[in-house]
Amino acid sequence: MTFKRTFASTLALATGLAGGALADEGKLDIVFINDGHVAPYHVAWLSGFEDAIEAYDDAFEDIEITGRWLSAEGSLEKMIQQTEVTINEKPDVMFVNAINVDAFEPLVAKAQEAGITWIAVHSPMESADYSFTLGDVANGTNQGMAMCALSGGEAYKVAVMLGQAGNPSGEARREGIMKGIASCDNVEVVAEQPADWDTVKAQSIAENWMTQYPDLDAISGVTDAYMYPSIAIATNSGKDLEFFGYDGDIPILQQMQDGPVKADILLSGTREGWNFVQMAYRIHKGETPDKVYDFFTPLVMSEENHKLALANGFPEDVQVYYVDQALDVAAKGYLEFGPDSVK
Amino acid sequence: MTTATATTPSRPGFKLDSLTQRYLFLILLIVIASVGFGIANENFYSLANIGILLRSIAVPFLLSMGMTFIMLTGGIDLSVGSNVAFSGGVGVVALTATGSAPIGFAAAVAAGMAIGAINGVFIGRLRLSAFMVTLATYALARGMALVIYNADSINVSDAAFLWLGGVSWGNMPVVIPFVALVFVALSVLLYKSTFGRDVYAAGSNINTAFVLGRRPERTLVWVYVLSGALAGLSAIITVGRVSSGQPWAGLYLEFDAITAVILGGTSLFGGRGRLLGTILGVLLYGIIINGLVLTGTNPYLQSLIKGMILLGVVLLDTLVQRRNAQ
Amino acid sequence: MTKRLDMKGIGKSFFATRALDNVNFTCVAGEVHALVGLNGAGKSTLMKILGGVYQKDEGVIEIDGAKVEIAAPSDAGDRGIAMIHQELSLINELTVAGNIFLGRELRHGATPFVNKREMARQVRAQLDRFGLTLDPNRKVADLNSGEKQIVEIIRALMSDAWLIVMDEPTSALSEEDKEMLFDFIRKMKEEGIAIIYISHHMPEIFSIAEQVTVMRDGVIVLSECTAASSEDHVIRSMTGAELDHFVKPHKEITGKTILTVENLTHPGAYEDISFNVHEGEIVVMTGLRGCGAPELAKAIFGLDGSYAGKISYFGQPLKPGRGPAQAVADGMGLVTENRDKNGILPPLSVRDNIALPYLEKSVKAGLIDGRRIDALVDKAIRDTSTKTSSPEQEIRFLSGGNKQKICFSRWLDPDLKLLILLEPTRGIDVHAKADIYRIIEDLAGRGVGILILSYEIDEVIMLADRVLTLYQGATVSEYAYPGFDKDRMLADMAGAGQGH
Repeated sequence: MTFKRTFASTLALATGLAGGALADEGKLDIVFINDGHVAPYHVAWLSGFEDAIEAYDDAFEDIEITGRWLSAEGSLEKMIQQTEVTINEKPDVMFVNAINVDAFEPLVAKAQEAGITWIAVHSPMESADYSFTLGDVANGTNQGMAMCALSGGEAYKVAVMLGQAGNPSGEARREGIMKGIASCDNVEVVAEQPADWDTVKAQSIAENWMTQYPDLDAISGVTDAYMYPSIAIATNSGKDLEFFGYDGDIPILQQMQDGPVKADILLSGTREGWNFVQMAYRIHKGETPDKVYDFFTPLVMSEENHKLALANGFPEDVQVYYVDQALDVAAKGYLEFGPDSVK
Repeated sequence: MTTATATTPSRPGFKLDSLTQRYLFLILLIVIASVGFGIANENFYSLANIGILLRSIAVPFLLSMGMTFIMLTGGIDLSVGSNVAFSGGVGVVALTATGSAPIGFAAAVAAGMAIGAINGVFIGRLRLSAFMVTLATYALARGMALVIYNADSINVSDAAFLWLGGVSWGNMPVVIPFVALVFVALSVLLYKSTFGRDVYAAGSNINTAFVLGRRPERTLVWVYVLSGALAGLSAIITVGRVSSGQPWAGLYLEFDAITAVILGGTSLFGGRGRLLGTILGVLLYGIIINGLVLTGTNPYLQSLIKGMILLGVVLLDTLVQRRNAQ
Repeated sequence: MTKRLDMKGIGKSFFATRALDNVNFTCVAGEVHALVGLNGAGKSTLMKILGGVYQKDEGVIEIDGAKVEIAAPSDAGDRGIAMIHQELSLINELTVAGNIFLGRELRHGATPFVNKREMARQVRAQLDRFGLTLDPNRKVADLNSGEKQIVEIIRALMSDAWLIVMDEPTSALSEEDKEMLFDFIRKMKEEGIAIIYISHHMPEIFSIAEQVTVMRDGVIVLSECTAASSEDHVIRSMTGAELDHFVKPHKEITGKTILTVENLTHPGAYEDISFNVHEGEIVVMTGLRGCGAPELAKAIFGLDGSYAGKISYFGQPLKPGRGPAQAVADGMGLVTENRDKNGILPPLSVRDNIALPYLEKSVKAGLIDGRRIDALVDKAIRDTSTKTSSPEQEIRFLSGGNKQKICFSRWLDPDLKLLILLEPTRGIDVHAKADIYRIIEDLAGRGVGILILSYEIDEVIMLADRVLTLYQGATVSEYAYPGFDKDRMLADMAGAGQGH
């Protein structure tokens, strides 16, 4: 990473010296500041972003595309500092997944003064040039409705694992899931608890639930990070639980073919990382997407379950990917968002 | 230190004491890091970046000053980061309720001191372990912050309240001269007041301090209150910097503060160390973090580099101490 | 069978300091070799080289004529050399046998279960061999210092040690325990064990050692048979000059009563104690360890308030347990018996150590006046003739005697009225002792009342204007200068003189 970056800037400097003033269109520098870098979703996201930068740089001869990502490791102060330093570096486009949007309002103005396109990630910002959101409420509703449609009409008990208290994305997902569940009356939410996006916390919560509610039917979560420990604990204690995930992590998608996971939301970090670079390129080329742009996130089910759900009244207009297709696009971000998609 | 045996009088001035050696070493590391990062990215030396760097270390600096006092008494304060969120919440709520910035300031500092007083009374008066007590208040203060804020941020637009953390004179954030003033005041307190001497005495040997009638139990209470007050000031600066009160402000700052104090050569066992070392520790830490961002170093590597620097400095220091003791 | 140790031409430097220069030292099985010298003379450096803690710069170590290298403390152990430390290295929660077999416990066959009975039996056999009556199943926490040392020595002997190095073994022992230890040492000699005995106590050396070696400033200045030597000769060699003997000045006690203690009782510690201390008077309490005197002193200083009876200070009753801060404000001072535990502030300089009680008096406009502190500190160092390279020297590098002088120099303040001293000369060399006696007399001469606890009978007689003998928490009798009777006092202390 360091080497690549240093090499790239040396190269830029050399070309700059040799060819005189190179037009700004010939360069696109993208920085992605994220709040973390260890959760499975983040890892996939950041690696998708890195791969896409490379692919776009190779695919378009006329333009030199560089990019890097930073992680604030959950600390607001660190993210502010990283953002300040980055603005001073004057990249072309900044993606910022703000820990709290209010805290970043003063910096958006500063970035725009410096001519940087500010793209707010996941939580929309009024002042940002663009906000890339996830349609959390709609996705959550889809998950909830899938639960209704697959529950079989009898009494069905579900426990829902939430995000960190106050986190907008987590709150929106919860709102959606509850809305979806409310569309039928046989599904009952017996417990709700925040696990702070933390796999380890999720583990102990899942353990507690399984002792506390012996007749629990399903666990729903606002992130796939919770699914890993929950599935493992259920398997180990011989419980026949069903799971409803959110994120489209590949290992969780793999558990859908005849496995305990019944539905998932195909965010997929890899896809989103690729989408960032694609959108940055488009904006650089002069396209103007909607100011608030919802990422395309289909629901994932097995074909069989989808048919069953449709038979139980699941709305036909909800975009559903079957497991194979979902796995394919999740692993290969370029299928949907590669250079070919913009050529 | 000088020779371990008292056989012959050692020659003062001939050898530098271990703390001075440590400071020179830190200065050397700071110079190396600055030159290195300067070569890797010419922007490192831009006035704007220096302003950013200084502003980013203002809060860690205040917290590390308080942590230095505490570690000189042989204690530790894990609650400062949470306290920044809590006292900021109290300050912002007081500001919104009354519309008066001075009342907001006072409320933030008082709230910080209140958490400090809880720590101090349990540690100083009831003689509980500092680690245990502040681990509890670490969770407690964060929980109270989340309750106060209802887990959501609160926007602040009062210009007077935001002045300290938000305003810059050119590239110079006003918070820098403020922090310098705090440093001078704390230096006077530590080196020139009876309280400061009692801090060293309590950390060197609390039994001796007690028998000599120095009331170390009181000293401990005030040291934690001081740390709380500095957390309150940090909260005001943080709110100014982000124009809002944040329930998750200050996360992990206690570790940055402890790291800086240890880098600065203050003993974990109390009684030994100076504020100067802490400044150098904060500065080195800040430069490294700033430089790692500027050079686009992979975040996976960043943690590794920070850990290695801390381990390296501590290891080197131990080796030097052992050599001197032989 | 008779083993011997030969250290030849040993030299060692620490940076520019020559700690040892061409030192020759020998040891023969079955003999006690006393090693004496003032603190800092090089004794401990020499012993640390023998123990593998330090490496010699030059010289040779031979055991039975064969050259050996002692590169680490474990090497010393392997060669049968055992160091018995002043700060004992036993685990309080284990039994005597458990400590002795620590790390090489006997087991039931191949099982992981410890065979406690067999371990106790083997220890019992060893103790019997030396005529010691100690229960191997007692917890070490319940033993006194003398018994703990015995456990350490037995541990060494059971690991096949033939050479035992004892550093100031009697500094924390009562008269009774000293006798027990000396018997033990004599038995070890009969068994062919060699002993290096580091001590400042001339009578001890001349009663048990065959050979005495004196070190001064890193060289050997005297080495001869005790039979051919004398106490004066040894002391002269240690100090390099005739030791000016401390002679108690004559004085009349005419001042006011400072302290009145009436019927003071704390069940289990002391019972029905009454006495007075007048201005300028030195009152010494003495007895065996466990006589209750330290607890009594702590009650007077306000550290402990759980007593019945009454303590008055200049005629005013004192509130029980009022705390040391109030005591100091009232003009009382305390020098504790354990310098390292609650006497010194180890990481701080000599200056900071001395200045602490004087801070409030040196404040100008809210800030400490450094020059006033410097003046006070310089005067304190001079008045106590403390040897330190500079006031900025860290106190932990000073010798025991100099540390003790600093503990004293905190109380040279003119406002001091009553000074309480617990074992004021414990573990310090003769030279520093004389200085400390002089400081005490000077303070008394200024009108300060002084209450001392001492377990050393010679010191008691040398210093006191009045002596209080205690036995198991009760006063046995009171003696006034010059009517001191050493034998009767010793009988009092041992509980034999009650009711005379």
